[in-house]
Parts: sequence; structure tokens; C-alpha cells
Amino acid sequence: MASNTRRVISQALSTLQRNTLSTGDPLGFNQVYWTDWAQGLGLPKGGSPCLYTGRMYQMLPYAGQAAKLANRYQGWLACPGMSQLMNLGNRLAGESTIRRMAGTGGEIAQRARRALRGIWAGLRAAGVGPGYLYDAEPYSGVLLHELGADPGARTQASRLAALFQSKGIGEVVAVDPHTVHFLRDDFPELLEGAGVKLSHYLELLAPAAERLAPKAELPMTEVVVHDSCVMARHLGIVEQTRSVAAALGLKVLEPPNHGQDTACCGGPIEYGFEDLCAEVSLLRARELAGVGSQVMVTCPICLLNLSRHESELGLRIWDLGELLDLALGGDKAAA
Amino acid sequence: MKLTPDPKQALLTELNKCRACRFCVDVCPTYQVSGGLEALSSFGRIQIIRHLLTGMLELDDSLSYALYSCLQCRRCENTCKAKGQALEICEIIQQARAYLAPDYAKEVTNGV
Ligand code: SF4
Ligand code: SF4
Repeated sequence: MASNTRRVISQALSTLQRNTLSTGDPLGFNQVYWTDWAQGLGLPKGGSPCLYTGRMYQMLPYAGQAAKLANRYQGWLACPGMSQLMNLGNRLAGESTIRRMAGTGGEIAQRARRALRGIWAGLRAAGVGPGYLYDAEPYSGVLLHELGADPGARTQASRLAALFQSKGIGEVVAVDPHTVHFLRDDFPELLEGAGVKLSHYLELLAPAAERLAPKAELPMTEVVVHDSCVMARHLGIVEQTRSVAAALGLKVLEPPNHGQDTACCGGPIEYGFEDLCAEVSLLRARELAGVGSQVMVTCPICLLNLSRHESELGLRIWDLGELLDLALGGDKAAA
Repeated sequence: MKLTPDPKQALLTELNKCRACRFCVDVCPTYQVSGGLEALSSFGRIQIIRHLLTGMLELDDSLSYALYSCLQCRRCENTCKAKGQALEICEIIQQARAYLAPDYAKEVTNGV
């Protein structure tokens, strides 16, 4: 891909920026797709503390398809004039195409839904009981920042901070490490200025781990823990993951390269470097498979990328949220 | 790493902390899977950035590949810190993307 890298990156960045700033969604979707997981749970609308999903889990089935399309069209971008045509016809990777390719979202959509319900169930058991903004929940802008497009990222994050402030939300609980790091460490002045305190859900669950006693048996007794790079090295959340797993009755198996020395799942470069991304994730999946077949992750990007090697290596990748859902009965609790 | 008021100087100052010990290279996942391609390692990337900043190199497709294929995983930083230098490698790479290629988000619109 090195022969047309600039066009590929330009295309990815332009599309992401245009989508985010015009529709408020990185995929450019107008139709709400990020609230289904909360159906039937009866979460209060708004209020503080507020659960903030940042749409990262919900995006998984579509993000995979969007990356597939982007990688498929890379060859075309090398042709003179094609980048302009792609720009005009940006809807090649538009809402209807991506939705059609993703279908009902498949298993990854089910896992993502279950992970969010489990995180909510965990927070409820820990006594946090957050509200949720439903369709009014904006996207954070984190992907723009990670690609170096900070003006667009700042604009989106400012909108988010202003929304929390206007709704009187002073405490926010986010569910994925990328969003937390972006909002708390990269642009700290935005949320601080709006008087908002942001936590990752594991920072709230770990101190209340004794309240997470499982109501149902889990399908495994031990898990190999894969630490997300951002979670371990940027946020310093390592022990919290283990204490929550232990509270669910799970024995933690440590793979080579864990905690602060964890190895990446490859996900952050999937948008334009599909081959390199696949090789990095395979390298990590093999390390994990050498220790056990049941792997636990705490990041939607790790979930998506490592799960691609499940059948090849005989693995099952679980998000911690899924395990919380199984153990605490998010679905049953809502009934 | 504070970038204002002179981002180029701030980047060079941070880059100059590097002792070229290369301890960070072996832990870099993109270096590992590329079969040892230095340009796809942490040290390789910061050398490329140094030469782009000083005008020794121009940002072409290959160098863009090196710059944008970094996972921002910070594994190299951990090693660098453990060896006593603590360069902010991810920040260097990310700020270099923003400083050296500010038009990437516009180029398609303008027709590269
Ligand atoms: S470990 Fe640090 S000082 Fe050594 S080569 Fe890498 S960046 Fe430079
Ligand atoms: S942050 Fe980038 S340069 Fe450093 S180890 Fe990860 S991929 Fe390599």
C-alpha cells in the first residue's frame, strides 16, 4: 500500500472529519444505532452520574465493514483523479452500503450489546446506577485525534463538554479506554472547564468488587487477561481489571507481555493498513492462545481484532462486560 | 511535551533526548511483524521525523506509511523510560503527523 499511502490516509481522514463534523458521527450515519443495547433496561434519561458509551462498542459491526471497504478501494486511489471521484462519491462507503454489508451486525453486535449491558449491570451492583443520554449521546471525536486531526477532534470534544454542562451532568462514566484517555488526558481542559469528572467504569467497579458476587455461573473458571495498551499504559488500569475478574470468581492467567508491558491488538491501524493490522493481531492472539483458550479483554477495539483469530486458534475472546452480563444477569435484572 | 509556540522546535528538542540506544526497537509490534524493517520501528520513525523536520527528507508515500502505521501503543515508551530516557515517542509521532501533514484531511477535496 506504500505507493498510495498519502491518498489512503487523506481519504480516511477527510471522510472521518467530514462525517464527524457534519453528522456528529464518525461513520456519517444519520439513523440512531447506538441506543439498542439499553432497550428494556429502564435507565433514567440523563442525570448525574451519566453513562457515556462514546458509541465505540455499538460501532463495531459497522467499523469492520467500513475498514473492509476502505481497504478494498485502496488500489483505486492510486489512479490519477480517482481520489476526487471517491470524494464526490464518498457515499461508496456511506450509511446504506455499510449497513447492508453489516446486516444485523452478526455475532460481534451481540457481544457488544451484551458488553454494554454487563457494564451497566456491574455499575448498578456497585451502587453507581447511572443515567444515559440515549439518542442525544454524542460521539467524542477520539478517532480524529488518534489520526492527528486535532482541530476536528477538539471541536467534537468541545460539543460534548458543552452538552454535559448544559444538562447539569457533573459525573460521567465512560466504557472504553480510548475515549477516557482522549477526554481526560489529551484535552483535559474541556471537561474540567465544564465541571465534569470523568471515570472509566473499572475505576468505580474495582473498589466495590465485593458487591459483584455472581448470581449465575460463568462458562469458564479461568481467563487469560489481555490488557489493552491504552488501558494499561495510558490510564494505568491493570489491577482493577484483575480484581473485578476475581470478584466474578475467575482465576486470572497472565500471558507473556501483560500489564504495563502488554502487546497491542493491532486495531488502531485497521482503517488503512489491513495487512499489518492482521499480522500484529495474529502475533498477539498466538501469545494469548499459548496460555489458555478463554481470553478476557476490556476494550472494544481489542474485542474486534482479536476475535478475528478465534476459529484459527481455538480461542474465545470475551469482553469483561459480557462476563459481567452473564454473571450479574443484566438481561434478567432488567426484566 | 509542550508544542507551543514553536512546534518544530519543540519536536526537535524532544527528539534530541534520544541516545540512539535502540532498546525500544525490538518491542515495537510493527517492527516485529515487518521482519525487522527499521523504518517501521519506534527509533526508525523518530529518525524519519527528525530528517523531515530538518528538510533532509520529504514526506512521500513510504514515509507517510512509516508515520501513520504506528499503533500509538506506547510499548516503545515503556522501554525508553525503563532505560532512563523517557522520550514521549507517541506524542512525537502524533504531533509530527499534525505538523508535517496538516493538509491530509483536505488533500482529497483539493485533488491530490
Ligand atoms: S529507547 Fe529511547 S533513547 Fe533509546 S533509541 Fe529508543 S527512543 Fe532513543
Ligand atoms: S507506539 Fe508506535 S513506534 Fe512505539 S512500539 Fe507502538 S507501534 Fe512501535
